[in-house]
Amino acid sequence: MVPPMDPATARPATERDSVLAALRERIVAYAASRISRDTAEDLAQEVLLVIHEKYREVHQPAELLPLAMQILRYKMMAHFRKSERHGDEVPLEDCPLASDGESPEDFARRREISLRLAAAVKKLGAECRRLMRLKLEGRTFPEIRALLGARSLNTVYTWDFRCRKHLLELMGGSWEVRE
Amino acid sequence: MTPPDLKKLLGGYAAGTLTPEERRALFDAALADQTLFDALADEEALREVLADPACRERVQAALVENPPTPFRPWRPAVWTLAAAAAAAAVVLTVAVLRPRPVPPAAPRQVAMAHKPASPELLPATPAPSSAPTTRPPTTRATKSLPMRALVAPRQEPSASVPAVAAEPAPAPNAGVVGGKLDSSALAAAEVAAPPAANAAPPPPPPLPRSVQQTVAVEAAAPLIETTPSDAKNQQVVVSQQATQVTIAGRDAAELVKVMPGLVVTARLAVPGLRYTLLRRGEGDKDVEVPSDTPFGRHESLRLRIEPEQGGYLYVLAGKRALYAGPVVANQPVLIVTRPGVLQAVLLPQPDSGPLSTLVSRARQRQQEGIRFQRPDGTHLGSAQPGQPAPILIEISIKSR
Repeated sequence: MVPPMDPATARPATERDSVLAALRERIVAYAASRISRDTAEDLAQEVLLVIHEKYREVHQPAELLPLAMQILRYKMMAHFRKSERHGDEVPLEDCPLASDGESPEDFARRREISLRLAAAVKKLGAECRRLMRLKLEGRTFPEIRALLGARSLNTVYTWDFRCRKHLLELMGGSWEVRE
Repeated sequence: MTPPDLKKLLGGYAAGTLTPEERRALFDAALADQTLFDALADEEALREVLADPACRERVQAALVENPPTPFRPWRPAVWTLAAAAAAAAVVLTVAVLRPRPVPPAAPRQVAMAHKPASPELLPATPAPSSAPTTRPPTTRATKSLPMRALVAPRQEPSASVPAVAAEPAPAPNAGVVGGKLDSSALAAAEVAAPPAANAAPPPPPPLPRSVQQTVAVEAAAPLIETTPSDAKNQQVVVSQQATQVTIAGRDAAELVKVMPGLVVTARLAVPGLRYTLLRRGEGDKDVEVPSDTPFGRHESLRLRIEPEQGGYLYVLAGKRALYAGPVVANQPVLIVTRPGVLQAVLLPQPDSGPLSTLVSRARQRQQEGIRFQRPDGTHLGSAQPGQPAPILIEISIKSR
């Protein structure tokens, strides 16, 4: 049986729908581990609404997932900001939609993380710093493998995983500032 | 790849270095595995930072810099010493454990005439110190702050004196003629002042250079007056049987003791906010210009604000925030703006109230000051102890 076609994407509607359904489930579970379950459900709904309204043409999981992550982050940050100012109960409609405009708070937060990150990477070992430098230069793992003369790609993955873990420890266990 | 293996791709996600195949594998797995999805969502903060060119550049610069390795030059020496010590230990062990032939019995010595050493070979005996060594009196040397063309008004005086403890003094010394000295010359006061009846407690360890200056006063009846008229420095006058004044900080002496009865005027260089106006000059280079330089009404200029202490900086143009975020001591912040009146507020904690009332709230908190009173209870000023007051400056950029 041929699945119905989505006129917007000219692709089987079920593929996108199934991805969004899985996304919703993951978002709710992730958000519920940090905020209340009800708010998490509302937040997931908001994320999917933004995807539905603004990103109709996006249908691949490899594109949908990072997009959803980004929107989810905006939503959660907005929620936390509101919570800090007004207490825990924040109507979700008060949270602004993700927009291209950047608030000073976002800018300042990013700057703060980058400063902490810059301080932390200095404490990494020479090998880890070299690996990270190559990554920030835009080298892919296969390229890094060739440059570092690693035997296999999996070796580079393992090196990177360990370096990242060490860096995360130096950052206090979280990329963001925990208050 | 198995999910544990796929987790190793997380580092590539934030840096944006995954190949399309790796991305697909990671995202497909994240949709099916909640743990991986959570890890990926947590990685979003790092991805966002590294996606910002300025932030990415900052991290890259840190990676290029050589890490501080203070012990590296000593490393070869340490290894050499360790090897030598190990070799010596081996030699010693062998020498001790080696069976030695029993030496023939020597005639036993019963007594020995002892010839006293010649005087020139005797070690020099230090003369008993009848008086404590005194340092030559230091001349008063007022530490002059570097004159910068644009120095913003500093914090209100009360903010600079976070801790004042009034405790009973053991020996009031009435009738001592007071003197005055400033913080840079307070070391001289330590020598010039008469000795205290009781030995003072050991000095606290010097504070880090970036720590705000603190003054702790122990006295029976301290009188502390602040003179807010001095914009650059603040004065703290301690009188009436002050037994100890400790001043620590960047510009003050590391530790200063002032003996009873001495009147001290300590000049405290309070951390503040400096600002500089920059105009685009030849070769697209920013040139520092005086603060009263008139700019074109719509001319874009750069404002460089350098906090002398860390905190949260808010730069406001009316109700609009040009900057809001954390700042590090002595790390300038560049802001692109236009002529007009701006307000910069440096707070110890992020502000949680509306921006529209930030300046008025900061002013109010500035006026609270630290609580000082005379022995008779006369109120001299007040503040929340230990809570640094906000620093507020107004920046007026003239237009033609």
